[in-house]
This record gives sequence, C-alpha cells and structure tokens, in this order.
Amino acid sequence: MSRTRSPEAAHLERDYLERAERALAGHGDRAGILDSLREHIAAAIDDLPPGEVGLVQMATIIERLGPPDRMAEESSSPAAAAAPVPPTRLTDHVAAARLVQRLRTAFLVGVIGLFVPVVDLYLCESASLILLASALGSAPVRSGNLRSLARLAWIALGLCLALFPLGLVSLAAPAFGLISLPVSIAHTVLHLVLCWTVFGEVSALVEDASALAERDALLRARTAYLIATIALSGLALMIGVVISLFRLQRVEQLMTVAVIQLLMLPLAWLLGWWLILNPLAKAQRALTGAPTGGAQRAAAMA
Amino acid sequence: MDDSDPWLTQVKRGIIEMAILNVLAGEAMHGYRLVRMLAEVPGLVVTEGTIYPLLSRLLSEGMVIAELEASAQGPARKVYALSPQGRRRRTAMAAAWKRIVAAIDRLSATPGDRT
Repeated sequence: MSRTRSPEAAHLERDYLERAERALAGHGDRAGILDSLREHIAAAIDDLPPGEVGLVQMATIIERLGPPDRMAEESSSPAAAAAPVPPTRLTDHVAAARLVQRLRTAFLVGVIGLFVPVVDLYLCESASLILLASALGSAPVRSGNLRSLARLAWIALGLCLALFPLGLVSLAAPAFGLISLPVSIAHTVLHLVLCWTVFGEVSALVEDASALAERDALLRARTAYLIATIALSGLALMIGVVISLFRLQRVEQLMTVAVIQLLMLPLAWLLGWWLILNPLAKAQRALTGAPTGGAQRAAAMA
Repeated sequence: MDDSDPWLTQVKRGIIEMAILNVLAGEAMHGYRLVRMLAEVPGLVVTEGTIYPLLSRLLSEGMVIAELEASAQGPARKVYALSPQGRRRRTAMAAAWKRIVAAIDRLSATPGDRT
C-alpha cells in the first residue's frame, strides 16, 4: 500500500513529475522514465521512518533526483549535455519569482498608463521605469545581467523625463518638435531593447526551473511585442504624415492625433496584457511552483 | 574541477554506463537500489535522476533487461539485469578501459619515468 503524503509533499511530487514530463517531451521512452521516477520516489519513501511523508522529506528525495532538465540533457546529444550553465542565472526560484512579481508590477503601471493619453508617457511610463530599474538593480547578486539592465532603465527614464519639457516647448514653438523627435525615437528603441532583454533574462530564469512551456511563451511574446510595437509606431508615423497633408491648424492637428490615439488605446492595452503581463504571470507561477534547494524550498513553502 | 565542466560531463557519462553494467553483472536489482549504489560513489553521479535516461538507453540497446516485480508497498517495480549482450559489452568496455588508463598513465609519466 502506498504511504500517505502531506498535501505539500504530494504537491511537490506531482509538480516534479509534471516538470519531468515536460522536460522529457520528445524522448522515445518518456513514459518508461517517468514510471522509473515514480518507482524511485516510492522506494525512497519506503526507506523513511513510518508515518506521513512530510514536505522536507519529499524535498530531499527530489533534490537528490535533481532538476528534470538534467535528465533531458542526459538523453539528448552529447554536445547539449556538455553545455555549461551560464554563471549569471539565479538558482533560487523563490527569489526569481519575487523578482518577476516586481517586474510585473513595473510593466503593469506602464500598461495602465496606456488608458490615459498624454499622462501615460510622463507619469506612468516614468513610474514604470523607476519600478523596473529598482527591481532590476536589487536582483540577487548572481544576476549580473539584470543589474546592468537597471542602468539601461535609468537612461530610458532620463530620456522619458526629457520628453516632457521638450513636448511643452514644441507646443509653443513647433521647431522644437525636431529636437524631441530623435529623443522620442531613442526612448522607444531603448524601451524595446529593455523589454527584449528583460524577457530574455526572465525566460532564462524560467528555463532554470525547467518550465520550458512558459519559457517558450515568453520568447514568443517578446518577438510578437517587438513586431507589434514597430508596426504601431509605423502606423502612427504614417497617420502623422497623412494628417500633415491636410494642412490643418495646429489645434486641429493635436485634436486629430488625440482622437486616433484614443481609438488605438484598447488595442495597445490588449497587447500589453496579452504580450507582457500574461506571460510574466505564467512565468511567476512556474517559478513559484518550482522546487529549489531541498530544505530551503520546504522552509519557504511552510 | 567543477562538476558542470563539459569534459568531465562527457567522461562521467561513459563511466556511469560502465558502472551500471558492472553493478548489474554482480546481481539483478531494483532501479532505486542501483541508483543509490552509484550515488554513493564519491564524485560519480551529480544527480540521481540522470541515471534513468541512461538505463532507458541501455534497455533500448538490449544491454539490460527489466522485469516487473510485485511490491507490497505500492505499484510493481522494475528489476534490472544484464543481458548476454550486455555482458559481452561489459567485457569489451573493461578491456578498453584498461588500455586507456595504461596509455594515459604512460603519457602522464614524467620523461625520466618513461622506459
């Protein structure tokens, strides 16, 4: 008869086997290896003193088995098995989950801002960049890449803040619009670079937790976000050119741009939720459910 | 040397395969016991779970055979044993291993030690 597990231990076992199943996707004997892992866990439990199997005991068994991606590497090509683990990645999934939570909050502030024309760039985008830089700057010591990204976020914030006075001045003197244009382009490019690299780093953290489906979703989302942003920026530029052809008064031009921007807001918000917030939420859930170093993980869950 | 070193990973992979065949040459046993035996050898196995894909490959290559054995504690468990093909493979591996070790020892010796 199989021994009873505490709810936390049962959850950890189930989660481990699910991750192993995902990691071994494509392996010819996936079912056989999964059966062997189930047997292994059952036999290891038989070696324990009588009584319900606790979380710490289960975490120890699973820690000895090792991460499922190691198993996948073992069954893949020799070159893949020999690939060293990049030194910049986090190993503590709980800390990684906290970091992703902070990044989500930062992006959420930016996405909420898309509802409010004009204010979005100067307030929400600035607040979002401050939160982003702060989250990246306080990432655990081993995440060197994330910390260097924090500097990039501070530069993006500087550009964002510079756009505010430039925008005001260009209302009175349209010639100043020529100065704000390169700053605006630099800000947009930096924003895209930040999103691209942050998503790349988060996908590496998620990969460390063997959540390959979530990693793939993040990588797909960042490509889609890049394409969507470039497409929308191109569309905005074309609209600007078309409006200028109509030789409208300055106030009429501003009103037309505001109306078009308002019409595009639901689409922008939808993209923000679909391509940024949702994949990050999935990544956070994957990291929260991933086991870390045995007893440390057990203590965190308790 | 770090356990994640690519060269060490490759060497260990071959050695663990040989170790599995050596252990099963002595007696048939459950996967768990086999894994624990290998895991107790210092520096040989980094994580126990990596043994199962190797065992799976040895099974598919016909080096190892597995039989299900009923268990009072839970589901039936696999008992692994060496096949005749696996015994031949083990003998060939042992001979190759001896040759390699001897060759490396000769190359590693200082010039004054070489005869």
